Amino acid sequence: MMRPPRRSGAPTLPRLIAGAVGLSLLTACVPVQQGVSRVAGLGPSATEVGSSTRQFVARVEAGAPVKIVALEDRGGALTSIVQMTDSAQGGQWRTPDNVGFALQDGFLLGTAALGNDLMTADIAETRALVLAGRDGLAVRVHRYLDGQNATLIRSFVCDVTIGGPAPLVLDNRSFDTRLVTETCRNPDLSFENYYWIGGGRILQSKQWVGPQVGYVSMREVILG
Amino acid sequence: MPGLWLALPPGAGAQDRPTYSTYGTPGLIDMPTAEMAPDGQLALSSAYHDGSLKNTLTFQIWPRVSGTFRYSWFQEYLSSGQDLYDRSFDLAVLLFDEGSWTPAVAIGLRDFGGTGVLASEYVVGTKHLGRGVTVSAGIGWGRLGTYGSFDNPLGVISDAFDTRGGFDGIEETGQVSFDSFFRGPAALFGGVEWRPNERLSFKAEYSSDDYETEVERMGFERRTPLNFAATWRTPRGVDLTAYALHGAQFGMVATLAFDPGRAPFPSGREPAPPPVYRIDPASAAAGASWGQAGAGGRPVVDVTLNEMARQALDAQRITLDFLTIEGDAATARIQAGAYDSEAQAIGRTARILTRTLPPKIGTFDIVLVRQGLPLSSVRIRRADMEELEFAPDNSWQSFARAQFSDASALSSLSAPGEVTTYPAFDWQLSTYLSPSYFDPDQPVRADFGAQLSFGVDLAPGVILSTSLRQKIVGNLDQVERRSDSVLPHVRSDYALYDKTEGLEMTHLTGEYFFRPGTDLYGRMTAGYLERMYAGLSTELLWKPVDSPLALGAELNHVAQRDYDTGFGLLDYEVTTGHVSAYYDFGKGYLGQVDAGRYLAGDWGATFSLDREFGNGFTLGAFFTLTDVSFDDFGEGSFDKGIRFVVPLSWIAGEPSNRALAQTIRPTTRDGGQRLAVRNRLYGLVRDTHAPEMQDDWGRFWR
Repeated sequence: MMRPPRRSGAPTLPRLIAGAVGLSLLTACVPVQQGVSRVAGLGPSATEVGSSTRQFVARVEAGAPVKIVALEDRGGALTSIVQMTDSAQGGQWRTPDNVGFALQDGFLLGTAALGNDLMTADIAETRALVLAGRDGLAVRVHRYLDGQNATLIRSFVCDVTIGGPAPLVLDNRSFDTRLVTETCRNPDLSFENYYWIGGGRILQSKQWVGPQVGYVSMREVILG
Repeated sequence: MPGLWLALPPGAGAQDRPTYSTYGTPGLIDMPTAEMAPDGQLALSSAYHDGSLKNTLTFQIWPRVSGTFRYSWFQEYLSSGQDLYDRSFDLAVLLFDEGSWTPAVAIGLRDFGGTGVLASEYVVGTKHLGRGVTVSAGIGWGRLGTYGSFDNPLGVISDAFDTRGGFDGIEETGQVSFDSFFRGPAALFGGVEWRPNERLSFKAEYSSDDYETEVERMGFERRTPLNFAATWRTPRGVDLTAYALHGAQFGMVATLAFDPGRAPFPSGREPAPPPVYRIDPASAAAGASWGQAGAGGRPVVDVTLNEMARQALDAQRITLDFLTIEGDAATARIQAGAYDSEAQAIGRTARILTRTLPPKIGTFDIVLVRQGLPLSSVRIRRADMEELEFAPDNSWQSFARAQFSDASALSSLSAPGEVTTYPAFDWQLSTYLSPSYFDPDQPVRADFGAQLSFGVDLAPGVILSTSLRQKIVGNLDQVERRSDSVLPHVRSDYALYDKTEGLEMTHLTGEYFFRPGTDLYGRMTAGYLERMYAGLSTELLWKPVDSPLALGAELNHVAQRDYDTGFGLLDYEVTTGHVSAYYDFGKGYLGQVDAGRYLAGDWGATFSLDREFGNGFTLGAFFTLTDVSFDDFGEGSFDKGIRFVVPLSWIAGEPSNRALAQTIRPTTRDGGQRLAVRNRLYGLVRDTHAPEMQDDWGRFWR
């Protein structure tokens, strides 16, 4: 039913090192026009986009956190997401054209509007290890919808490895980060997530959504 | 629909899926095997060799039972030298699974209710030997007992098995031929299949079919009993087969097999839902003064709040009819609008209510409405929305915490809190395609045209509507055959209706939908009810919100409409009605029995079984037996058919209430015909009730 993900090479994120995008976004408050879902040939109609774009701009102007994201298996086009809500359990982020990402401290909890969405992810064990900077094994559970609107559960055993120092430059500023690798497997599927951790939080990451959607890359937009 | 097939993901376990025979069923070339397709698989197949074409639809109804409908063409097959167009039904049942040492064993009936030209019965065993090699052997009767045959071994049970009834002419067709099953001479057949990899298959068989009539009349050559075939399975799951029949004929089969339970975009491509609003404790305290929710148990209507909620729901393409607040509970009456999944509409409504209602409102009663009828009420707690938004198991937990109840208390015609203003107008201009099948002169015909629909809701549940059609192009009017029915021509004059070149009024009705009491639903429809009938139709349905069982009764008095589908009537009048029982067996199997009086005044019952996949894709079959004798009924002997519904959302991956729905009858005659009134209650009600909503609750958070 599910294809194994494409093996990816070194965890470099050249496409994400595009500070100009983030800067123009924040200084001029012009949202990135080319949304993820547009590029993927998916997504909402023009009128709906109009109202979600206004909401996006309003959130950015209100100073809500912004990230830059890319769907690597859909051409890697860049877009941005802004935080709509936040809580200890997680927060909702949206692109200007209303594709949804649910994140908890930067860990992907779910997506909406990608056609084969990750409905929920149980990442508690991974999150504990990564944020504590400890190697170890974590169980991760993903839930999807099957073709009949029933829940499809995929569980993985993940090996979390804290790597050495990996300097990261975002928006012309350097950060001392460590690269954490999370290698997950089950009998049918395997994938690797990467987290660049600096100052106890995720500054940049590459995380797996599912067999059809592939990987999403995310990075912080650094102000000032 | 080729584009659709390309959009489907490649089939899983391609190697497990059996290859198909020229009969469009799992098998060798002409011979069957005991193999079964994966549960729910639908296979469309075309097999052609010189002078013969078989188009087949095979559905794996249950893991152990498959059903087949076939439409075939045999050139100059009839003794008169005319071509034969033949409709046939097959059934196959797996009796025993394959064991380590024992074969799988299946029993099957081919063409058990058609003209009988393909009629045969068989028992076959199939064993996988490893290395991709599968062997099958069996014994056949009828057509499968015509070469190398011997006396029927079942003759030891009864002499009746020794002789088989023949083809008694076209009038006898359609009867299930119990008096010929497993009768007459029998013969052995067998074969082997080798599948070196998941893309290729090679087959050889020893056939027990001697093609007697084909040799006699069609110039068919039969040099050996051996047939050979090679199959290539494309990456998208289409099987292309070339075969050599009896040493003289070559042919081709194309088979497309897919699982309707799979979808190209399982979670849909529609925009993300609005985030759940989380009350922070500070604003909750401040919010106590926001919205003067009712003291003393009286519902309160806040016009500003209603307008905010209406606009927010409009943006989600959900219509808010009504919003009231009573204590800490809000009641919102909504129309699920664009969403074919009611669970998704309820989820989005609950999200909007967390964002628009004051924090002190902790309970949302969301009432689903169709045609002005409140159909069910789902209670969602605001705290659960906040707690479960990111919970890994939120789908199941939110279903377990939702409370479903009857909504009849909310059926009053007009109430405070109404957001919709009446009269409410609606119109739509669209196109239509009206196909017709199986006329021997032209097996497929169709009309294409424009359709204008117009409706006005005078009050909740009171609807006036009409639909007008104008044919633009088509050839339905070229049907030359005229009904030879000895019954009143209640349906068989369809060709006369198709002659209409001008504007056609498909319906013009006033409808009233109401809730007579708890668990009860009512409908009255008056006017030009359908294309061929006008009159009055009344219906009552009993359906508790969490019950798999529903019971209904319908009584109609109608007159037949004039062929020009204008306002005129013919002088045929009839009182017709049924009592109905509906049962949801679970896992998508829906059964229905309707017993009563049909349009020709005949009494009898209709039996239906549908299999509905969780995404709405539905396949079903039905038959009707009435007190009209098989002779009086004419060709086909009794009314029967298959039907399917393909939801647009399944193809497009976006919510839609539109679907491609089609009923296919081998013949349209006058016995066992029901009125085709719109908006029968069970279809309106079922989707909004708990058993059905549980099936697609996965979309609640989408």
